Amino acid sequence: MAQETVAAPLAGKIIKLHVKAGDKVSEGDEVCTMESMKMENTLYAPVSGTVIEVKVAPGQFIQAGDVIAVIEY
Amino acid sequence: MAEWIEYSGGVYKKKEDLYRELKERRDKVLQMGDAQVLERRRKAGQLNARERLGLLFDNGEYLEIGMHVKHRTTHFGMDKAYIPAEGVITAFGKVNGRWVAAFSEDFSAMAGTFGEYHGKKEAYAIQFAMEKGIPFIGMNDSGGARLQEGMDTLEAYGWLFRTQTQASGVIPQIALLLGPCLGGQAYHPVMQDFVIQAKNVGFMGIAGPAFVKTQIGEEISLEELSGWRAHGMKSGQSHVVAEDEKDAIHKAKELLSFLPSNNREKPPRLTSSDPPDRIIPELDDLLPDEPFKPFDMKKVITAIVDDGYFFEILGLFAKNLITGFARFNGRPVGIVANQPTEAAGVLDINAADKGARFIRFCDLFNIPLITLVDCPGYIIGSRADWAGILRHGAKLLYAWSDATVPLISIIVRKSYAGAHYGMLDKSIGADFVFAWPTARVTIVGADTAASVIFAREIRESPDPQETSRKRIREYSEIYENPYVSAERGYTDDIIMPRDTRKYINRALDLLENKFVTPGTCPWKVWRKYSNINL
Repeated sequence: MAQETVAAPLAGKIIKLHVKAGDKVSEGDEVCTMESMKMENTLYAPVSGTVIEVKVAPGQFIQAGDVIAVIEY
Repeated sequence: MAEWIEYSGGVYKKKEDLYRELKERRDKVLQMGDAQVLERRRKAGQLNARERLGLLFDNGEYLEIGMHVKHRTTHFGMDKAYIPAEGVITAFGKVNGRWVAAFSEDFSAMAGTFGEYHGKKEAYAIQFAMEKGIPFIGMNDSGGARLQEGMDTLEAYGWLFRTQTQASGVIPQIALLLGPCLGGQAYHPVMQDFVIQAKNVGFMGIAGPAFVKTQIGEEISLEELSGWRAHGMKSGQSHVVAEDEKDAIHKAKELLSFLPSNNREKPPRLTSSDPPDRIIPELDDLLPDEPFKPFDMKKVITAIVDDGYFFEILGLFAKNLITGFARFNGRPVGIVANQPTEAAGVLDINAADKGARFIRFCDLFNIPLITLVDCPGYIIGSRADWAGILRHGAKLLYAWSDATVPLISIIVRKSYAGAHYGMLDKSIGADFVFAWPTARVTIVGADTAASVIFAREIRESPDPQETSRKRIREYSEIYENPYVSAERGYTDDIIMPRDTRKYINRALDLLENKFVTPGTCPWKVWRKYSNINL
C-alpha cells in the first residue's frame, strides 16, 4: 500500500476538518478547510483510499508543508 | 540472399534477385523484433511501435527513413545481434493535414535500447524537422542505454540533447511516454516542450527502482517512483496525463492543433461558429460578494473561450495557477489564470515555474497570451524565501518582459503587489488591461497597508480597534478598486464580466499584426538571450 499526504499549501489556520482517521475517501473529496492569505481554502483528497491519520485540529495554526492528513491507497 | 553470377569482368546479380533481397530485408524489419514481446504486449492491449505511428498519422500513412540502419558494435555477441530498425522507427507523416516528424521506439527490438545508431536516428529526425520547419513527436518506450556499446552510446545521448536544444524554439517538440524512459535518457522527454504520459505504461525517471535500491537503499515501486502521479502531480514534468497509449497519441494531435509548425508561422486559425461578441450574463453573478470566498476560475475560462473548449497544461500540478490553450474566434491563445480555490491562488515557486515556461513557449511560437487575475501576491515566509521564491518568482517577470506576442490581462478580482506584474500588467508589457468592477488593483490589501501606515496612530489610540477599522475602510475606499489604476491609464477600461469575451476578441483583432515579422520588435536589441533566473 502506498501513502499520499494532504499538506498545507500555505501557512494558515484550520477552520474545519471534513474527515477523520478510518474514513474512506474518493479522489477529490474535501479533506479540510483552512484560512490563509485572507482566503478560505478547501483541500481535497489527491487519491482514493483510507484516511489513516489526521494530524491537526480545528483552530490550529499550521505552516506551509505541514501534513494535515495521511491517506493510504 | 541473391546469387552472384560470374562473368569475365567480375560478378553481378539479377534484377529480380536484387528486388527480392530488398523485399526480404524490408519484411524482416517490418516483422519487428521479439515475437514473444510483441505477443505479450498485444495481449495486454498495447500497441506496437508501428501501430502507434499509424494512429498518429492521418490515414495511418507515413514515410519511413532509416529502416536499414544498423549498429556497428561487435563486443558481447553484438556482431550477431539483429535489431530491426535499430529499435526506433523514424517517420514523417501528416497530422490534421500538416507534416510532422516522429520516432517510435520499439520495445520488441532489443528492448528498444538506446545505442549509438539508435540515438543517431533520433537526433537526425529532430534535425530534419528543425530544418524543414515541422513539429517533432517522440514516442518513448525503451529499456534504456545499450550498455554493450559503452562510450558510443554515451556520446549519442549528447548528440540528441544538443540537437533538440538547437531545435528548441524553432519547432514544437512533444514527448510521449508510452513505455519506460529511465536514466539519463529521460532528459530527452523533459527537455522537449511538452511531455504526455500514458497511465500504467509510461514511466520516466533519472533512475529506476532497482538502481535506487542498490545505490541509496530506497525501496519504492516503479509506479510510485516514476508513474503518472510522480510527474503529473509531484514533479510537474508531465504536462498532460493520458488514460492509455491511444489517449496519449490523441492528446498529442489535439495539442498540435493549437501550434504552428514552426516559429516563423502563426498558429493555425480555425473558423469558429461561436460568436466573437457573445455576451455571457451568467459571468456577472459568478463572483461571491465576499472577497475571502473562492470561486472556480475555470468557470470563467470555459465561459469566455470558443465553445468552452480548454486544453489544460499541467492541470494536476501547481493548481493555484491554471495554464492551457483555448481559442478565441478560432485563434489559438495561451491562458494563464490564478485559481482562487487552490492555495488562495497565490504565486508560489511551482506556479511561477509552471507559468513562466508556458509563457515562453507561447511567445516562441507566436501564440497570444491572456491572463485572468485574482491573486493575493507571491507567497511569503521563511520557507518560501529560503527556497528562493524571489528567483523563481522572477521567472514570470522575465517571461512577460521578454514576450512580444499579443498580451491581454483581465483583472477579475485581486491584483496585489508583485503579483500585479507576475500576472501581467501594463508596466511589464500588456497591450490591453481590462478590469471587472470587482477588481482590487493596488499595492497591498487594506488591512496590511493600514497596519503599516497608521501603526503609531493605532498603537496610541484610546480605541486601537476602532482606529484600525476606520483606517482600513479609508484605505480600501481609496485604493481597493479598479478606478485608481484606470485614472492613471494602467487599466484601459473597466468592463462588465458579461462583456469579457467581446473585449478579448476585439483586442486580438487589433493585435493581429503585433511584431509578427521576426526581428521587428523595436525594443529588442541584439543579445544571445536574457539572463532569466533559473
